Amino acid sequence: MHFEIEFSPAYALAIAKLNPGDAVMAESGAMITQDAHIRMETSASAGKGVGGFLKGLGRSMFLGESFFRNTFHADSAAGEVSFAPSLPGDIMVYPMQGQELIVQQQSFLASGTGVEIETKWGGFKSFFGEGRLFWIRAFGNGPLALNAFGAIKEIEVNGSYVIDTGHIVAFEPGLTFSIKRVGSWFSTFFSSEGLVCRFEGKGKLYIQSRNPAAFGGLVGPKLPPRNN
Amino acid sequence: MTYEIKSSPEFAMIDYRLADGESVVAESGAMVAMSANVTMKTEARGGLLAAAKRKLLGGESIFQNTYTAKGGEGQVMLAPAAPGDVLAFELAAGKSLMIQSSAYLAATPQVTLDTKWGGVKGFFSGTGMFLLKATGPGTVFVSSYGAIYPKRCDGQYIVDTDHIVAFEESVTYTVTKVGGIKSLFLGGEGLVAKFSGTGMVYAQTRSPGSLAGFLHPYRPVKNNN
Repeated sequence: MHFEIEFSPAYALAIAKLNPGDAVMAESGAMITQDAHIRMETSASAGKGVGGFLKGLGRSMFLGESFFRNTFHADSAAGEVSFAPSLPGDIMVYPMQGQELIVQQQSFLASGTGVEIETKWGGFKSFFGEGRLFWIRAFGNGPLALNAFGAIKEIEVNGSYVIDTGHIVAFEPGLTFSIKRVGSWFSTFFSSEGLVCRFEGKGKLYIQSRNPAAFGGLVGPKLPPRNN
Repeated sequence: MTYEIKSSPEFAMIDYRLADGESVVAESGAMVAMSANVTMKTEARGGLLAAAKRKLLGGESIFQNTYTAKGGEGQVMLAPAAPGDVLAFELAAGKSLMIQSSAYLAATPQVTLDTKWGGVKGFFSGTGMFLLKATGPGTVFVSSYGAIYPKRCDGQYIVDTDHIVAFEESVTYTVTKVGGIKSLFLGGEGLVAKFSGTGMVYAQTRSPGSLAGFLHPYRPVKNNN
C-alpha cells in the first residue's frame, strides 16, 4: 500500500493504492471514494473485541473524540480508497520505519496496517487552561498520512522551539514539550498568544499554518445557537 | 462566446465573453461582475411548473438569470459560493451530464435542465443527493468545494454522497451504506453512491456538510431562560 497525494496544498486528497491483500486504516468519516470491491471494517482503535469497542464508545461519548477507525481491505484484487479531512489544507506522508511519531489526534488521517496507533499511554492528553490536546503515538512500519489545516511546515529543532498549541501536527520522539505561558500573566489574560508548547531536544516538528480552534472561534459565534 | 476559467483550482471563476446578442444562463447569485452593456433577465426556465419541480426535487433555485450582451461584446464573471474548482463540459446534442444540484453553476442557453432522472430517487431516499440532468447541445459549468477528483468508473466505483459533483449518463447508481450497521452509526461513513457501468465520475475533495460538522461544536449554546 502506498499513498499518492493529489491537489496539494489547498484541498489535498490522499489516494491509497492497495495491492491484493493490502489494507489501510483511516479516521472515521475520511473516506471520499473507493473501488466497490474494497471491504470496510469498523473498530475502536484501543483494545480488541467488545471490551475495546465499548471503551472506545465511552471515550467517544465523554470526550467528544472520535476513536473509531475504519480499515479498508483489498482482499483479492488491487484497488484504491481516497481520504480527505474536513478542513481545507495539505496532507503529508511520514514514512514509518520502526521509529515513533507523536501525532496531534486531529491530524491523523490514514495509515498502513503495519503502523500501530496507540491512544492509551502516559502522554495521551495535555490539559491547559480551557484547552486540551490529545496525542496519539504511532510506531511500526509503513506510510502514515497526516492532515493539516492550511499548509504544513517542517521544522528541524535542535535545542528549544516554541509553537502555539493549536498549530502542532506531529513531532518526533527526540523532542519533549511542556505547556508554557509566553510573556507575563498580563499577556496570558489579554492576548490570545497565552499558552504555547515549548519543545526541547532534537528532532523534526511539523506545524500547520492555520489553527482549527481559532477558525471555529471565528465562525462559530456567527451561527445560530445549538440546543446542547 | 469564449470563456476562460481563472484562479483554478482554489478560487475558480469563469471569465465569460459574449458576442453581441449572445447569452449565458447562471444560477442566481453566481454573477460576480459584468460589463455595463450586459442585461440580466430573471426567469423560470422551461416554464414556472418545470422550474418549480426542479426546485422541489432538485433543490435548484426556481429562478435563473440570463445575461445577454447588447450593442457590442460583453463580459460576465461567474463564481460559485464555496472555495474550489469549476469544470466545463461540452455536451453534444442529446448528450447529458448528471450534476449534483448545488454543483450546477451555469450553462449556455440551449442546455436544458431536468430532474426526471434520479432526482426523485435522491429525494425519497433522504440522502440529500439531488440531481439535475443537463442535456446538450451546449456547455455546462459545474463547481466544487475543494478540488475535483476525476475518476473513470469501469465496473463499479463508490463515492460518498456528499462528495459527488457530477457523472456521465453512461453510469447508473444506487445509494447504499458502506460496512455494517455498526459502521453506519459509529464509523462515521454515511451513505455512499455505488456507480456501475463505464464512464467518468467527478468527486469533490471537501464537503460543505463536513465543514458544518466541524463548526457545530463552536456554535453558541441556546439559553433557554
